[in-house]
Amino acid sequence: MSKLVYQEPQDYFVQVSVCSLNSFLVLNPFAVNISETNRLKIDAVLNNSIGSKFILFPEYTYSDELQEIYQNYCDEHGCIIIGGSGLDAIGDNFYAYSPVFLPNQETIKVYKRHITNDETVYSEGRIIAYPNDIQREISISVDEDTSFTVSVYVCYDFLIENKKRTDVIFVPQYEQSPQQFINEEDRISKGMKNFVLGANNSNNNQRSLGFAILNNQLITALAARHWRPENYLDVQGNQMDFHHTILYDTQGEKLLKFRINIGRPYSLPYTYNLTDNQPILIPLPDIAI
Amino acid sequence: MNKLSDLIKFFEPVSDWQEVVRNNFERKSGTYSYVTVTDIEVKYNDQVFYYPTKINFEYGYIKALKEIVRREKISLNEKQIKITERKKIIPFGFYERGKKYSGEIFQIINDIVGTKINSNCLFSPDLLTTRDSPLYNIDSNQKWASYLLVLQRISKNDSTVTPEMLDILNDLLDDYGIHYGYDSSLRDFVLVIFPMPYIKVVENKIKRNESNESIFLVLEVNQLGLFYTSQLKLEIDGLIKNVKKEIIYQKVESVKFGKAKYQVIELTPDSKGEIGFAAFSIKINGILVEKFSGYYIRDIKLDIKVK
Repeated sequence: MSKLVYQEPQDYFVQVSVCSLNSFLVLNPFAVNISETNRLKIDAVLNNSIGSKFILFPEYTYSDELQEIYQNYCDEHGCIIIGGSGLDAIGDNFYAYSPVFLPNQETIKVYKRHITNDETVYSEGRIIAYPNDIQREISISVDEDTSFTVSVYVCYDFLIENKKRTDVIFVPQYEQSPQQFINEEDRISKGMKNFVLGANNSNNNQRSLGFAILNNQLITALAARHWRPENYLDVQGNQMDFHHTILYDTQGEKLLKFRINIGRPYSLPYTYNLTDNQPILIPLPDIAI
Repeated sequence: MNKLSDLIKFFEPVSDWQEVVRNNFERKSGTYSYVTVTDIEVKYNDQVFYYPTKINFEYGYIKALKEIVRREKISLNEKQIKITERKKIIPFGFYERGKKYSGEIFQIINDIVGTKINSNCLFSPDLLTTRDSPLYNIDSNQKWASYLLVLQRISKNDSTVTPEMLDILNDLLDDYGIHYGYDSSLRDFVLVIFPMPYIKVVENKIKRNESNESIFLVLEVNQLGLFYTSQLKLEIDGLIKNVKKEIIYQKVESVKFGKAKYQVIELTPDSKGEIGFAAFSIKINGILVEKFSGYYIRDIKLDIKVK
């Protein structure tokens, strides 16, 4: 036996659903509106996500009416729902928060600690920043020796707060120009060797985003399967070094499903990748909502 | 003062040192990322005293290959002593073999020491801790519990040494982490140190509860990627005796690793009593990485008087 503590990583796949939906936010009166159409969308997402261990919704798609549906679904299917985000009324004002539903456990509320300027204007100053510390990390035990941790950052919090490494970081977001998120998510996933998965809605330009360390092989394969373009251009049209996006430029309301390899959350360069291991993710066919 | 040959006399002889290194220390583990090769020589009164070549594997980031020469001049009895330490730091990323950037750990050692190696090689039978002899005497600057491989080159010319010089040498080389006596055979030795740079015990004390005592340990985890990207099994194999030397705790406890730099552990004996002695070994994935044992000092009352 070797005297060094090294262990070959073991492949361990987890199915994830990321959905790209228009936000349900209405301005008059200021609230998240779960209309009949929106309810049907949520049902479609849940019905098509059976088998997924994590379901991620974008920002402003949650209201308390959905609590029972989400909690029952979690209990029944043993999965975790990161329910986008909703509003918690504090007098006349609101805290924004993301509810995280866990099977047979109390819901964790991940409050938003940094509010963007446009949110303040949309809400006429009524969305306020949550002042206290919050629990972001959730630890999941697979068996006695294996456990994983995931964390949730709501939108801008991901850009501003200090991040601790977890195996997957979920970011429900609402961002019209996602370049800052691309830069930060790319940087974090490379540095922490983990998955950063975002669900975005900007109503006219939906972009769901996911990052992990990819190699050339996977970039070509994902590009061939419309999950991402092979190369990116910046605003001036210059060729950028390709960033490690798993999914990008998702147009329309869609449910994206894939199996991520949490046990081996990064790809080795192509030339070192000829050992007998599984890729870091396997995409599944996506479903229009 | 101890001689090097006394310090390593309980080491186990190995017939094929390359096989031992190949089986135990793989480069792909990523634990070591560079190697430091140190040679020390002392000039005095037209004589040159050579100390063993020390090869130390280390973790961390070094941007490029470095060669450091440290010279020290000491005047003693109107004569000068010159100590020269030649240090070469080789990051594995820059290690070239056969025009390729490659090389396993045993190949790197082989390249450094050359092929003229005596067949009587020695390997430490157990993990050596930094506080205890022989690792303290051989390299007191070492921070981590280590394994040690001792190689011997086929002998070069011997030099004669004046006895009055020896004591001075021993004192001067404290700074360089050397705490053993000089003899002329030292020049032929190569000491290869394989540290286990994973966990350190930064606090170890008795915690008194209302009716019982427990041992309070704070472990500091090294900032290695593997702690955060892979599943680790951390275990503490402990033995605690009370002041009457009866065993009150003996078990292997598995610790849940919180993925934080500092990890607090409290070990409570099954039976009550004042704790006198404790011995622990810490294992990660079943590999021994640190151990310590000792008696706890109790009830020392300091009586300080200020006039």
